[in-house]
Amino acid sequence: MTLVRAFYVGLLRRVPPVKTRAAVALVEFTIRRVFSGKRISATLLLLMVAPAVAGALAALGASRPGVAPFFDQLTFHLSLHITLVLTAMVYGVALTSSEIEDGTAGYLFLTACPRWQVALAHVLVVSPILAILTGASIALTYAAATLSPAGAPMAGPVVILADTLIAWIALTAYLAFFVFCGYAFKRNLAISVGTMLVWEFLLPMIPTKFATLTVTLNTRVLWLYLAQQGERGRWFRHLTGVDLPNYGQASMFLSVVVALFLTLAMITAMNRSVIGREAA
Amino acid sequence: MSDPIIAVEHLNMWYGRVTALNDVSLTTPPGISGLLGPNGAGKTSFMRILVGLMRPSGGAVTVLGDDPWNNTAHNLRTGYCPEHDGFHEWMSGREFLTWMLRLRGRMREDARHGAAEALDRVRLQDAADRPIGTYSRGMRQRLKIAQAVSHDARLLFLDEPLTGTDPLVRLELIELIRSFGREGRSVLVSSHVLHEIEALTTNIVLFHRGRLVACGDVHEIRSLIDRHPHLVSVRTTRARDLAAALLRDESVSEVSFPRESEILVRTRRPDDFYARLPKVALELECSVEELSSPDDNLEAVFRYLTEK
Repeated sequence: MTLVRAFYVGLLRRVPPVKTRAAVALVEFTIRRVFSGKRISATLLLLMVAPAVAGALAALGASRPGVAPFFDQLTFHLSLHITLVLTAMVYGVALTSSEIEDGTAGYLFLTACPRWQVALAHVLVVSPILAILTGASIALTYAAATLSPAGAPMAGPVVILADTLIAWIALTAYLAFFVFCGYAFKRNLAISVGTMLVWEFLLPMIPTKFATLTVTLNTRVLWLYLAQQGERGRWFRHLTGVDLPNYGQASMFLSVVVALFLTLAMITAMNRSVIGREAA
Repeated sequence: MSDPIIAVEHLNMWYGRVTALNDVSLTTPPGISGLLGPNGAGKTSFMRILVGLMRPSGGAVTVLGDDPWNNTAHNLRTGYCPEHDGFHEWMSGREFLTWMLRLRGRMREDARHGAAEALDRVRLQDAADRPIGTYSRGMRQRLKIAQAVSHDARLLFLDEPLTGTDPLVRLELIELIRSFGREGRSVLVSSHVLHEIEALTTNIVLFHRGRLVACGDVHEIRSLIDRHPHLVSVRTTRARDLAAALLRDESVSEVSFPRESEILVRTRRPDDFYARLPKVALELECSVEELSSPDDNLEAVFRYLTEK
């Protein structure tokens, strides 16, 4: 018994190696950077759009019938599609190319943390924080909707939790993509925004089988299963010629996208030269 | 003879079609070495390759016996003070240094202690808890140097650490850099002002348009450079009074006023001029806000040198 206790005391008192301490500091430093600068203001502003619209709608259209579905649309289209892409873009670009440009990334690359860890932290530390903020925004949207006497949907904690989980998965995929672009391309903003527009916004509108190869569509499928009992209903009425993937296919697709872009982000971070402003 | 701290063989660096470094081969001994050259000479690219921020297009680089690219162990043995100010402006100086030390593997308490020591060393204690965004140019330079030395690096790379500082801060920083040498650390410091480098070391490396022009004792090229007139820009609150006082000095051959608060001084004896300027400013009780040597001036000197 004494030996077991001595083992645990020794384990707790053990000074972790330099690389472990640096990795812990990197996680904390990334969290610190999430809540600083203009990026957090921009994100909070974006996240407040849906609750503000819901609040205004509840106040203005209080007695009109048919208002209730609009609150779901707000969550579905705004919070879980457009806002997610935009917040991921704000952070993906701010933490990579913007920091390389303003010179702060140079300090981070000269620490005990390997560059792949820096890229990994940018995705895996930032995405759950943004997901929690998105979840709070969705909860506020529903809270505002309950003000409407026309009969707003009562979301309940399970649906909000499901929305947050889906937001986390989608944010991880988008962030991995933007972090990859931030390290890989000089004109990363133009390239990433262009790709996102074609891939995520135009492709789902086209009734081709390629429409199923988007993060948006697959996260929506997860959303259908987790929050809407798998009923396609009105959510995909524009996709008439497309067979929706099932839950397993959607999970697999999103896993592959996350793994692919996360790996690419780490590889490009390892190979990115941080050039001086004169050279740039 | 001791092993070189930096060994570079046939180093090349290209940015697209632009050549930043062209077949550079050199070794530098322990101690303080100066890297001299006008803007665009390749000094910053050279330093960034040596610290591991940039991968060269060709050639071999060894710093303290290791390849610096993607080498975290190398990051712990070296410190880098970049030329440009790139800070998280919302952070305080103390917070910045504490994070940098923690990211280099120090325990939380140890990092706080190390940050306080480094701030003390560069005399920034009074402003330590202010946001970096409120710091003056001199304070930012000192913070960058504090960041480079805080983790007890054996080798320091200081890229233009004296640029844009007033004469008093300049003297302080020169003394600080000298003290690093006395502690047994090796330092590679870059500048486009020969006088600054000369105040620090006799061992210099001369770059011009990406090529290594000369390497060795400063005295050998000093006489050549002295024959060429130097242009020095002085930003001050009392430009006309200072100009009148400087013109009485034999080292000054010409003075002009490009702006209301700026004097452009031409001198053939820069040593005498740099020694005399603080005294004159003190006598007149006027503050010198910035002292710099225009690049076109050094460019001319280098053209003169390479043509010889």
